[in-house]
This record gives sequence, structure tokens and C-alpha cells, in this order.
Amino acid sequence: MTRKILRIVAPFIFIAACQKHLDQQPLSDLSTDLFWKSPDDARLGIAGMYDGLQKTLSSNYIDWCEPRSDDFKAGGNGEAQVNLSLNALDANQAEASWDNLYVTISKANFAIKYIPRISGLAGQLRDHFLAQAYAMRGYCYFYAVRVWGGVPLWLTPYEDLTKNVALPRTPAEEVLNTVVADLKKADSLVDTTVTSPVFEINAGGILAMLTEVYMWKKEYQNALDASGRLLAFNRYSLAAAADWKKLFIDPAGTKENIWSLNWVYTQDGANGMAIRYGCSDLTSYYYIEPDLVTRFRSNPGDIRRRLTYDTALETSAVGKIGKFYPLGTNGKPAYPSSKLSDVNYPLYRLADILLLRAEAYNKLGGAANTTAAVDLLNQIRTRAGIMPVTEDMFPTQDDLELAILNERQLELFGEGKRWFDLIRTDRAIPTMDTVLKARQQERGFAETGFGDPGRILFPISRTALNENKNLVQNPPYSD
Amino acid sequence: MPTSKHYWLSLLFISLLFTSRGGPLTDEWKITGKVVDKKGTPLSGATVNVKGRKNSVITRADGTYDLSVPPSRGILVFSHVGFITQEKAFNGPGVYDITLREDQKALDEVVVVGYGTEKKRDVTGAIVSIKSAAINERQPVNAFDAMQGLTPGVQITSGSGAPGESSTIRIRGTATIDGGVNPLYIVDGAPMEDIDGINPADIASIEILKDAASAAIYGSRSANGVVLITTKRGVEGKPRFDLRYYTSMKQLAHKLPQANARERRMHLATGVSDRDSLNPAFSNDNDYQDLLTRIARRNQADLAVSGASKGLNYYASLGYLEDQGIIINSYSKLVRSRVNIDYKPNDKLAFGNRMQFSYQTGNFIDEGNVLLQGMLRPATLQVFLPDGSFAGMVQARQNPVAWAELNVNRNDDYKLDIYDYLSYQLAAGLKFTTDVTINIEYLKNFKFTPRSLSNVGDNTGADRRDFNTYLQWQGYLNYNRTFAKDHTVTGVLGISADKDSRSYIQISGSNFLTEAIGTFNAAQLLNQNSTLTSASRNTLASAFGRLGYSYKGKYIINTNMRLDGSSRFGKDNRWAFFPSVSGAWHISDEPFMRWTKGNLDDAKIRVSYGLTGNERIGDYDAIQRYSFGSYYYNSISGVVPNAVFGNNKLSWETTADLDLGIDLSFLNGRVRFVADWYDKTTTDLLYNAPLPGESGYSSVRVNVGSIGNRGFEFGIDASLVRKKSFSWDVNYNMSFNNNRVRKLYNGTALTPTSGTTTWLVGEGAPLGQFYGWKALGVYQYNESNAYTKDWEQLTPVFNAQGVFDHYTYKGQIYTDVVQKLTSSGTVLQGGDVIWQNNHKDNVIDDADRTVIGNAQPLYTAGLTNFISYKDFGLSFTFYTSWGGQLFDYARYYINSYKAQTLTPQPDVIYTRWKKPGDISGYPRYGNLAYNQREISSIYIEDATYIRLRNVRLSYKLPAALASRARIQGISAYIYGANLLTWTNYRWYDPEIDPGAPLTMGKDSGRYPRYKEVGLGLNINF
Repeated sequence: MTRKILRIVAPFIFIAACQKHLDQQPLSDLSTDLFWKSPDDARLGIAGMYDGLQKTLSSNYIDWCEPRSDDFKAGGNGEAQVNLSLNALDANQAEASWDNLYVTISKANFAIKYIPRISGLAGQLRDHFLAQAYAMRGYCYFYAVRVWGGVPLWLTPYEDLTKNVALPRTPAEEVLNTVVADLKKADSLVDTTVTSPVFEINAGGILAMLTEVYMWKKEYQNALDASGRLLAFNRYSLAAAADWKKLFIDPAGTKENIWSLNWVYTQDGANGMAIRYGCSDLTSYYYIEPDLVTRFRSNPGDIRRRLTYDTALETSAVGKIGKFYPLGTNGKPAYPSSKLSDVNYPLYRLADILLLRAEAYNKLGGAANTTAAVDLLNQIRTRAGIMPVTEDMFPTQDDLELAILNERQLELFGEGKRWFDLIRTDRAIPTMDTVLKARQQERGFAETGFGDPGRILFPISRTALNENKNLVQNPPYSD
Repeated sequence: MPTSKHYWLSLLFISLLFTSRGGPLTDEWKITGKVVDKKGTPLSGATVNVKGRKNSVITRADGTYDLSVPPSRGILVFSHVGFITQEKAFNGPGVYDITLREDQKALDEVVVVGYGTEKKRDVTGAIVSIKSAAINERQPVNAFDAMQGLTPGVQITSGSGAPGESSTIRIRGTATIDGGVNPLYIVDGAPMEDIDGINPADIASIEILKDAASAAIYGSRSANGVVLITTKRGVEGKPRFDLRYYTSMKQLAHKLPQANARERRMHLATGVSDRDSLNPAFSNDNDYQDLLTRIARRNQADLAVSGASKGLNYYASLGYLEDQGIIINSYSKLVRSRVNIDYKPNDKLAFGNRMQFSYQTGNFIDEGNVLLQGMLRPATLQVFLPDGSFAGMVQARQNPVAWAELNVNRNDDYKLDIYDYLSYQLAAGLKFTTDVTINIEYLKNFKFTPRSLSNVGDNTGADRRDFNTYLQWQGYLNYNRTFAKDHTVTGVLGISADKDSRSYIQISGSNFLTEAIGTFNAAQLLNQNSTLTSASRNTLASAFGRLGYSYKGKYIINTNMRLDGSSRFGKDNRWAFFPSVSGAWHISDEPFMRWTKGNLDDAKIRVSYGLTGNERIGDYDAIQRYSFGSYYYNSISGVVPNAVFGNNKLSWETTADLDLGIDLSFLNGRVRFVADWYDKTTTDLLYNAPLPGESGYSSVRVNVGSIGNRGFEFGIDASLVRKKSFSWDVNYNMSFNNNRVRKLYNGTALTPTSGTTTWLVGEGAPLGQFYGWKALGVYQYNESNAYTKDWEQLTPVFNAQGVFDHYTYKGQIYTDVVQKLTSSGTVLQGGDVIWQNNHKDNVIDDADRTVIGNAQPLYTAGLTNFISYKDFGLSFTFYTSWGGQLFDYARYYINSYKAQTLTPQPDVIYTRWKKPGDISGYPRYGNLAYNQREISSIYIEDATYIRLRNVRLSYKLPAALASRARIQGISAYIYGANLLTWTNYRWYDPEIDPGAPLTMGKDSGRYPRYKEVGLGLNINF
């Protein structure tokens, strides 16, 4: 009898033993069901999200912005750099890829979904994490809108293969509304008492983002309100002229920095800035546009001139930008090697916000506002050690805006602002048309100028188009 | 009892052993007789001896012999080369005549199949077998060399000419796109990850199971075919010592044209400026290929001892291989040792083990920084400083000689493979076997780049140690019985369990305080991103079986099946069943075929169909995971979702394979022909389907899509001459394979990349399609960039003063709208490449890409000759791969004017477009990305080649002479490899490792293959 039972049971025992033998859990990774459990997981997940932004902005902080503007011209003959500086973008170039941006968005979506489910995570701490995730998502979509216009809108993490993954593009306007909503949500959740580290998004950072978004949307009063609340914290002030360099090499050491992106090469590897701006071992990708050098030189006393680049290079092409590196004992920038540079990318600092406020005041018009605008402009100029301006120097609103933008160009040179400023103020095509013609002539290309206005946007990358058939290319790029 | 094969061998050896005649004794029986063949012709030179005794005699010219034996009953053994050894009992003095039958060896050969052996006659699947004799005709470094070119349907390519380089083997095309592509290796019954550690001299036979019916018994791991390797065992008698020594010299097969100093200056004259020609740093004329390559030595020594007596059978070997690379400072040293012991205390019980240890050490050369860098560095730049030390970077160009000499990339690889079995004969025809396999590998890799090579003035190092173990247990029953004379039933039934564990520890750092010390206490900075340990594991559980039936050996049917469960797949899809069925019909045994007798010895028709699987994917692809360790932010180690979406539905990739084959043997086995047609369809392809990046993931491992391989292959073995003192055997084989992707996930074509090289993998097309731009030439004049409305090119006409006048189209004056092509925002001009405008708009961009070539050959073929005359032997093999292209990346890179310190090849310097009117294949000088597109059809090259792969001329000392020196056999030979190659391919060698299925055929300037000439000596006593 027992033998009979054994005979029946044995195969099941065998199969059960097999099942156990075949159950193998990852040894060096976590399976999904083991993460987002403890309060510390929230901290680690959020760090992973910031890591996503590092990978996104490592090179795109620069490539999505200033090489397309009158800040830089291509230094060498790299295809991507030449394309960027000639406004001849191609759907195949790496800069057209938004993948890293969406990886960051996905991480924010995971955090937004799972942080509330972590038991034992106290209310305020939890909300502060969530605020960072919402703000990060908003920030990423803000970049996306500025680079491509409308983009697919993902507000939940992708977790089920049976769900549609090929979302079409959501119109830019709608994406921007989501950005505002995310930032407002972040603003409502953030713990306003948290001020450090400067490398994480805090209440000030969220308001700074809101300010810039409102400026993009041309909602000037809203921009003033948001930035006004930022100023009301009374924790930010312009760094002294002597500390201007610290904004880039020691962001935690000033009261001006609002949010900087941390970089430690032993942890994060080589960043994309050194090879683009200047390093000890390689030729930089970009040179400063000669006209801009001329403007820097027109005010020899401007502290930003010698802190931005090595003035000894002015006589020929300024092929190295030392702004983000400390000065050596010889007074020249100490360029790091391309692989070993720690650059903390400034994302928002008070000077940026003050100049945005100046623009907003100017746009709102009226004597009081104009005075306020000029006053703000002069705060920056005075700090830089150059002559203040007076209202009567600007007969029209447009003149003042141009002056503010020019000041922004000098103050925020290399900080990923100029190209977007030009678009925001509808100056991209008129400004760049002449610049591009000069560049085209220099390279022996037909002088076609800016070309199709659709070229303000980037093309959707070829890979993205292949992978998602519901995407439509930005005209006039070939689909 | 040893198996019949070994028994036969032992007799042969014994007969060879004792050729000297013993002295006559008085109290002996005198035995005489005559040895003849079937037709009654006397056979001279046949060996006659008494089983188990030493003395033997050779028959005279008239076939007669006489022999004196001690007066006791015994067995006479008659043997002769080319005939089947026969025995005859004797019980007293007298006349014992015998008729020997010719050896139709091939048909009686034993072939190893999964979990057993079969007579070659009874094989129903597509199996090829290579015996040690054929292996010895080459001078193989590894088991791959031993197989190359000998078998239809098996394509073997060594990755490059680097020492210690492994090879890839593809059996009947590529049946997967992203799963594992290597076949399953089974060595003496135990699965192995690779077979580099096996000394080819230890191999008794290699069997390659090509069709699903043969391979299906290995189920989930068999879709790429199975390679069974059986190592040698001892043969009955006195211990036998085999000593082999081989030494050779190797040299770069041919040099490539490279610009010398004069050509470099010529290049400079047209557009490039150079600095200070008086400076010693710029005033040299180097031949980098001479500086970087050398005549390299290879030394190989093997010792083997084997023997068997009374239930104990042993084989032990020790081999040493020292292989210098033809690029300076590259080498590999390899020690291999093997012990095979079989112990059989009685008729029922057997116990044995196979133990193999290998240790390999070598330094690898970074081809990109050495040879490629050497090929593009201006010949004028300094290599050595006046004091003999290395010059550093000159004009931002690395010193390739310094790089070869100073950069360290050293491997130390220790492998131990143990296999033990125990078998017991439970009843007549029923045997139980259980075995255990333990494979252990410890691999140490050390990399170090000294400060002098760094462009940032820092030294960097990395140390990685891998520790891998593989355990397997199997238990199975073998059954083999013949009923009522005509009905033979064979069977196998068993289960097995495997566990494969891998782990590594890696540490990476920089700023070593001294370069004399390579351990990481000297590193002042550790790289947190790449300092880690990691581990993974996968398991497999299986049940397998075979049932075979044979009626009179005329009709044979076999079924193989396996049930596999793998930890790699989703919980609900873990188990898969792989059945197969195959049949063979000896049509020649039928009465209606009687008329062929005398010419056709045997004709067999085979049909087989079966399913095999592929489970070789990442260990945890079915599990959604979070990763960490390289996602730091502000000193916090972030945790992020893995970039590959975990697909919990993941299951097996299945290949269905239909094989029709025919085996023919003519004229007493003098001509043998094997042909197979197959149709393999792989479904549920396992691959990383790209996910839209917007999802936050890069890809997902999926189980969709299908790929097909259809092919035809045949092999002919013919003994053209078979005389006593002269024989000539020829083996020819040829394989055609047609590969098609049938279905993909959502129909989405894939554009896999390697670097920036792109392929197109789409439905209905084969794998290996290069995706790029087709160059139609170079614009002669600026005005040549002119097209009609339909984008037909116009011809500019110039007046007598050379000023442009008008256009013509098809000989007619054209006055309509003229369109011009632009690229990267510029109008193309004279000297720019004319690209095929596939998208029919005015921009040449990525939308104009098309398929510009395919990496897969049309067919491959091998021709081997074995000629022997008296004591001399000559063998040589030709191999060809016909059709197929390669992307010559190295040539592309060098000729792309990417930097002015880069020198193109001489033909570019001489013939590129220089002034309006030039007709050229190469664009004007200038780093213009739109003229140097990757991939451009200019650098897609025909990879067809015919190669004399190896030649071996040997001389064997006559046995009589050798025996005087108490040596049983001694032979010496001259060997040559890769002596001749015919090809139009323009880089070093068209024979390259095909690469991953999705990215085949990119030659990024690999370590070149060499010509080799060597001398060897084999002695056994």
C-alpha cells in the first residue's frame, strides 16, 4: 500500500523539488516586490531620479541650448557640433534622443506612485520627497517642450506590457499646463524649511522653475508672484563679486545658488561639460562666438570676463571656457582633464531669477515697473563691476528687453539659458539669421540663414520614430 | 569487455607493437597458412599473431606465413591495413588459412550520440563525425582548428590571429537573433561552456549533431546544434607513450599599403599644414607594420601515457603551448592536463572519471590603440626618442609601439573540469548510469595603462576576478536488445539537474602612487562606479529519453525527447517539451536494389523532424528588477528600475527543423556521399525588442518573431587511389544556407548598432544587412550637383573658356527647373560624394539610407586531400567562403579625414578629388561628415576568399627501422597554415568572427591572421 502511495506521490515530490530548484531570485539586483518598502528606499529612489537628470544633462545641458545660439560656435569639425551650430539638425544625431529625459521622468513617476505606499514614512518627509519627484517631472517636461514642442505625456510608470506603450505626442500647450500643475503640486508639498543641500530641489528651486515656466508662457505677473515668494524666503542674496567664482566651484558656499546639479567623477564618471567647454587634454567642441568675446572685452573691468575665460586667448579664438573651473595660481583657469572633472552644473541661481524679474517688469510696462526692471538690471551690472544703466538709455520696451537679455547672455554664459531666452522672446530667428549666415559663409556653405522656422525645434530622433509609430516628426525634418 | 571499437584498436596496436620475430623454441606448435582477400588474391604484409602474445609475423608476397606458438590453444589474429581484422581459434599445429574482408570502415564506425553510441550505419539524424586521425593531419591549437573545413554545414571562424583567441562555430546558419548563438558542447557526457581548454591531441572523436532530431535529446540548449567531444582512452596492452613536439614561425600574411613620409607630405600639400619639418618629432619615415609586427614563435609539446589492463583503463596527458602573437608583446601560454580513468571491477559495474585542468595566461593587445592607430598615424611622427625610450603623444596621436609594449591587459585563466560516472548493468541490455559534473573556472584579468600612455597624465588600472561554477547531476538508463534476430529496440530514459553560478569582483582605480605595484593599495583613487562584486545563477531541471527500433537494420526509427525547466523564464512558462522523430531506410538492402550490388554498397535515406530550444538569455530577464551601484547622486547610491523591462511571460525559443538526408557508399566504401537539405524555423524568438524610450525603458526581452534557415549541404569522400604504397583520399564539402527573418515584434524593423554602424533587420530579409548610404561617385564640378524635377542627374556643359554654359539630360539640352542636393545644411559641390537620393527630396540625410550589403556568405566549401606514398604523407585543405560582404571599418576610419593628423591610405592620397573635373572614387579633402557617412557603400567590400588553409607533409620512419630504436612509431612533418589566400578584400583578412547575429560583419581592424610554417615530431613507444 505504502509503495502504491509512493508511486503516486513520487512524481509530485520530484516536480516540487524541481520547482524549488528552478526558483532563482536575482543575486545582485532587487526584484520589484522588494523595493519601495522602507523609508530609506524613498531616499535611494529619489537619488536614482537625480542620477537620471545627471545622465540627461551631462551633455545636453549644453547641446540642447547654447551651441544653437550666438554663444558658441563649433570649434572643430565634429558632425554633431557643426550641425548644431549651423542649425542643420538631423534626426539621426544623438542630441535628438529624449531617452534619458524619459528615464528620469519614469523614475519620478515610480516615486510618485510608490512613495505614498511606504509605511513608516512620516508625513512631512514623505511630502518633501514627493515634492522633489513632482518638481523633477515638471522640470523634465519643461525641457522637453522647449526642445521638441509637444511630446508624449507619461504621468504614471509603465508597468504592464499589455498596455499601450506607443503614445502619440501631446500638444505643447497641454504639456506646459502639466508642468505648471506638477510644479504647483510640488510647491504645495515641499517642506519650506529645508534649504540644503543645494543639489536637491527645495522650495526655492520649485519657485525658480515656476518663474521660468511663466516667463516661457509670457505670464509675467505670475512670474513676478512666484519669484516674489522666492525672494520672500529671505535666504537668497547675490554673491559678492569676490565670490562670483564660488557660484560654480562651491555652490553650497554662496547664498545665490538655488539649485545646482552635483557631479563627482569617481561616482558619476566623466561629465560632458569638460570636453565641450575646455579641458586639459583635448580640443573643446565649442569656442565662444567672437562677437560675444568683443562684448566681453568692451568692458575690461567686468569681473565676469576674466572669470569666464582666459583673457590671453582673446587675441585669437577663445577655444576654452574656464568659467566652471577654479583659477590656478597663475590666475588662469585650472582646466581638469576630460575624464576627471567635477563640474556642478548651475541650474538656477538668484541672478537668473532677478534678471527674469527685470524682464517681467519691463514687459508689464509702466514707469514704476520700468524703474524696477532697470534697478534689477543694475544690481547685476554693479556686482559685475560695470557701469550701471539709466532708464533714459532705453527709449522703448524692446530696447530694455534687449539690454536685459544681453546682460543675461554675459552673466549666464555657458549655463544653458541663451537659446531658450531667444526663443522665449521671439528673437531666435532674427538674431540667429545673421549669425548663421556668417557661420555658413565661413564654412563654405550656401548662406541660407535660419531657414525654415520649424527648425527652432529639434527633430524627433529617428530611433524614437522607429520605435513608436504614433509619433509625428516636426516639420521640416524628414520623417 | 571494452567496446568493439577499442577491442579492434587494441588488436591493431598489439599487432603493430610486436613486429620483431621471437626466437624459435623446440616445444612449439608450428602454424602455417595463407591470407587472401575476397577474390583470392594473396595479401602480403598482413600481420598474424596470437592474441595476448607478443610475437607476430608478416605474410610473405604470396600471402603465406608461418608462426611458432607455445603448445596451448589460442586465437590467431589477422590484420591488414584496409581490411577488417579477423580472428581464428586454433587448437593445435596445422594450416590456418583466412580470407580477409575489405574494411568498409565508415559504415561500421561507431558514432557518439546523446547518452550513448550508435553504429554509423544506424544513424538516423544528420550527424558528422571527425576522428582523431583527421584531427592529427592538422596542427590544431584548439578543438575548433580540428574541425574547420572538414564538415558540411559547420562554419568555423577564428576571431582573429591573436594568440589564445577562441573561435566561433555556427551550425547551419544563425537560428536566433539575440539568444546564445554557440552550440552546446558536451565533452565526455558533460556540458561545457567552451572547449578552449581541451587539448586537441586528447580528442578521440568529435561528433556534430546538426539536425533537431539528433540534438533534441539535449532539449533547451540544442537549437544551435550540439558538439560532442570524446576524449581518448587507453588501449589494452603495455603502456603507450606519445610524445609530440611542434615548433613554428608565424608572420603577418601580407602588409597593407600605408602612406610613407613622402606620401604623407603629398597629402599635406593638398590642404593640410604640418609643423616644423626640421623638428625630429616630425621628420621620420616609419613603417608601422614592421614596427608593430614580428616573426612570432609557437612551441607546442604534448605527452600522453595510456594503457589498459584487467578492467583498468587509463589515459593521461600533459600539454604545453607557447604562442607568441605576431603583434609585439602579445602572447598566450597554455598548460593543459587530462586524466581519464575507467575502472571495471566486474562485468556489471563500471566507474570512471575525466579530469581536465588548464591554465592559460596571456597579454592581449588593444587592436584599436595599436594596429589601427599605427595604420593612421603619420609615418613622419617620432616613435623613439634619441635615448631609445618611447616618444609620447605627438600631434595628439598615440604612440602605438609604446601602447603595445606598455599597456597591460593580462588574463590568467584556471579551469578545472571533473566528470565522474558510475554505471551498472542491471540486466541483459539494460544499464544504469549516474554521473556528476563539476566545472570550475577562476579568471583573473588585470588591466593597467601607465601614465606615459595617458593623455591626461594619469595611470589607470582595473582588476577583475571571475569565479564560475557549474554543477550537473544526471541519472539514466540505457536499453539495447535484439528480439527474434530482426527486431532491435534501443532506449534511453533519464533525468538531470544543473546549476550554473557566476560571480565576479571588480576593482578599478587610478592615480597609482607607483607603477611598479599593480595591487590596489597603490591606487590613490578608486572608481566607485566600477568597483563592485556581482553574481548570478541559473538552474535547469530535465527529463529525457530516446526510443529506437530497427528492423533487420534496414528500417530504423528513433525518437528523442526532452522535458526542460529553466529558472530563466517566467514562473508559468518554465517547462518545455522537445520531441523529435527520425527514420532511416537502407534502400540498398531492398531486393529491388539488388542490381546495384558491387557498385553501391549502401544507400540510406534519412528523414527527421524535431524541436529544439534556446534558453540562453540573461539569467533574470523574466524578473522586473531594480539596479544599483552605478547610479550615484551626491554620494547617495541611487536605486533605479532596470533599463530592460522584465517580462514575466518569457518562455522558450523553439526551432523546428526538418531534415532530409541521403548517405551513399560506392565501390567498397571508396566513394561516400552525404547530402542534407534542411528547413529550420525558429519561432518565439528571444530578443530585446526596443521599447519606445518614452516608457523609461530601453527594451524588453520578448518571445515573438520568427527566423528561418533553409539550406543544402553535401560532402563527398573519395579514395581516388588506394594502392598499397600509394593512396589519395579527397574530402569535399559544401554548404548553402539561406537565412530570412520572418516575423518581428509588432513588425517593427530593428536597427541594431555597433558603435555608429547600423544594420537593418526587417521581415522578409536576411540578417546581416548593412544599412547606410550608397555612394554613386564624386561630383566632378560644383555644377554637377544638378537634377531634374524627378531627381535624375544632369550633365553640365562648359564652354571653351571652361565656364559653365548649360545642362544636358540624356544628350538633350535641358532648360527646365534645376534642383540641387544639400546635406547638413549645405549645397553639395564638386568633390562631394554623390549619394543615392532614396527619399527623393533635396536633402541627403538619414532617411536616404538603404541596404548596401549583406554579411552572410552564399556558400562555404572545403576541399581536403590526403595523399600517402610509401612512408610519406601529404595533406592540404582549401577553404572558401563565397559571397557576402564586410564593412571595412578600419579603412573607412583611416580614409575619412577625421583629423589632419590622420593619414589616409596611399590610393586615397593619389586619387581623391583635388580639382574640378577630377573623376574620383574618394571625396575632396576635409572633415565633412556628409562625405564620410557611416556606413558608406565605398567601404562595403566583397569578403569572398579562397584559402589554402593548411598543408602538412609528413614522413614516418618504417616500422622495422623504428623498432630497432625500441620506438614503436616515429614521424616528422612540415606544416604550413594560411599560406595562400585569394581575395579582393582590402583589409588584412576577410575571415573574421561573424559577430553577434544582429551586428554581423564589421571589421574594425582586427588582429590580423598570420602565415605559419612549422616542424613537428611525433614519437610513440
